[in-house]
Amino acid sequence: MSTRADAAMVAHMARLARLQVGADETAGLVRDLSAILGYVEELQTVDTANVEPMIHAAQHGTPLRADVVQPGLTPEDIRGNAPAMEAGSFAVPRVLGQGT
Amino acid sequence: MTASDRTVTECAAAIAAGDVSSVAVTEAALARVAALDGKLNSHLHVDADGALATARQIDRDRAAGRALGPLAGVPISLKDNIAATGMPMTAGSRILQGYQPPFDATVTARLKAAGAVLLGKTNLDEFAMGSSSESSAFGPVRNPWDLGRVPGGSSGGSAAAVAAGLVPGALGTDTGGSIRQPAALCGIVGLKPGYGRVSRYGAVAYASSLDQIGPLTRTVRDAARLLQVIGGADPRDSTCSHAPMPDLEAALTGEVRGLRLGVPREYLQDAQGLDPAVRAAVQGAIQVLRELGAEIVEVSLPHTRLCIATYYLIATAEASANLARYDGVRFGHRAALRSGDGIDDLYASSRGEGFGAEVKRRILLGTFALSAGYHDAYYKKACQVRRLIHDELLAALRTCDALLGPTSPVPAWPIGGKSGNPLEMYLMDVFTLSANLAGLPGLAVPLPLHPSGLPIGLQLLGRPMDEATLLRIGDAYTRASGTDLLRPTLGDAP
Repeated sequence: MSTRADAAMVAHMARLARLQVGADETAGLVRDLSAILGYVEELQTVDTANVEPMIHAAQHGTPLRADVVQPGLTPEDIRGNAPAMEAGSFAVPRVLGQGT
Repeated sequence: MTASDRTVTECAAAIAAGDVSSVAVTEAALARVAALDGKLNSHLHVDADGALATARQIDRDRAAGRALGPLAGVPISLKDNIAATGMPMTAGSRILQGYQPPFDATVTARLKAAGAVLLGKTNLDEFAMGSSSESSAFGPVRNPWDLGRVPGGSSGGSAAAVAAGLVPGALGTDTGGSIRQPAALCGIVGLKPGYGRVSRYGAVAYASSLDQIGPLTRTVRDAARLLQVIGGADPRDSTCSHAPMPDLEAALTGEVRGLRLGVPREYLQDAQGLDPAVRAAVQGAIQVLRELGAEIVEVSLPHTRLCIATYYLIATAEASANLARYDGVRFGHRAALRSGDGIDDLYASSRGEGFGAEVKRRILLGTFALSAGYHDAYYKKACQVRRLIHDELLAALRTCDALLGPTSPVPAWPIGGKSGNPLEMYLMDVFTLSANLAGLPGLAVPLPLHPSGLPIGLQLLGRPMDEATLLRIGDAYTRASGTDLLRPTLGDAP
């Protein structure tokens, strides 16, 4: 598979990532992502038939802790870093009606 | 001996013996930061009051005859992607400017319990994404060996601070070489523990299947001391291993006879882009280890060249998911809203304003690798090649106790020298990525200086969770070769 980056691809990925990309940034991103995608093409030359994907390095399992109530962060601890609060809640603009 | 010459273990011993107070050591460290860090830019935050308060408490504890921890009174700095209460945490990003962590990372809590004096937070590539410490939103870190050059990255602030003697030890994080490579480029020791050896609770997540916290120090013994303190199972991180932690300093016997060390030909004679003087220095280290009694064998890791492509797809895919949390809602930078803006505008503009160029590049690449229609050809394919890389390394480590080669193919490059070409920068990580992909421990120790006068590093890769053998080899090599004594010249700073 050969994929090249272009302005439409960058715009699509930026939309998926909820990431504003300035008009002045697009050309550089197209150039850099094209070079990187060209480089990673070499993976397609590797025979991976019947190879189980390795999605993690935790080969020792993920032991669970005992389910015991312990002290945690308080609501005040959490709210202290919030950029906008209203009535004890995180304040956000209109959620419904956004055409995504 | 001046305060800046003491190693972590020497400093702890001198304080425990009453030869020097923790307050004196801490004041000396603060004076050295004040004198030198205007040039180095290694620290983003210095907590002088907090450090001196801890130092006074340690001195009182000693005077009262109370038991002292293994790091009692020793100044240690944390990479600024590790949470510590009372100090801001930026991860080198504008999106976290002003963030005050309401909790301690597990490693922070363990350092405190061991008596460490937390001096401050060190500069880094934004979100640990980089190999030069130039992508920090708060300016590049400079290499103490040559202020015109990069210190490596992404733990460049920790490496520069330790190499310059501002602190005897620091913690960093390593996702693709971010502890080992700056350690090599600054002439110090850097240890990436095996995946799961150290809790990641409280470390800013970049690529969760690859990230590990570890020490940067001047000596291998210091690295052993710090890993002993920060490592071990943690109920707050389910990926943290319950494997028993051996006595790491007891492993430093100076003895390498009977060990079988593999030299992958792809790391040395067949390595592309490897500086000839780095190659010669590694060959010199092989000779030293052979004379110490180790058996040296050649091995082959044919998938080595594929590590870069594999890593940059997996790491960016994980980053694109991990960095979704920076949305301008619960913490971090929020963009000013225009009339009519909805929630998606808030997300996009806050992230667009808050993230720098390299972080945006990686989020977009990772989003692409995970996106509909491309997931199997990019992310899944990379995870399959990761398995092949893992299996090949473990096969080599079944017949060898450790593998060795260069840490970085070249010494430190000039600031700005590669920052315009991301792919060229990624190629610098060719020898360090495999340890993260396979979850193995990796140790960088200094080689004799490059003919240019710059430091370079030897890398040792070990069996899963076998940091002890790496530390034993690294300790024997550095003491035999004297490379644990290299120091940059920094004028007449205190």
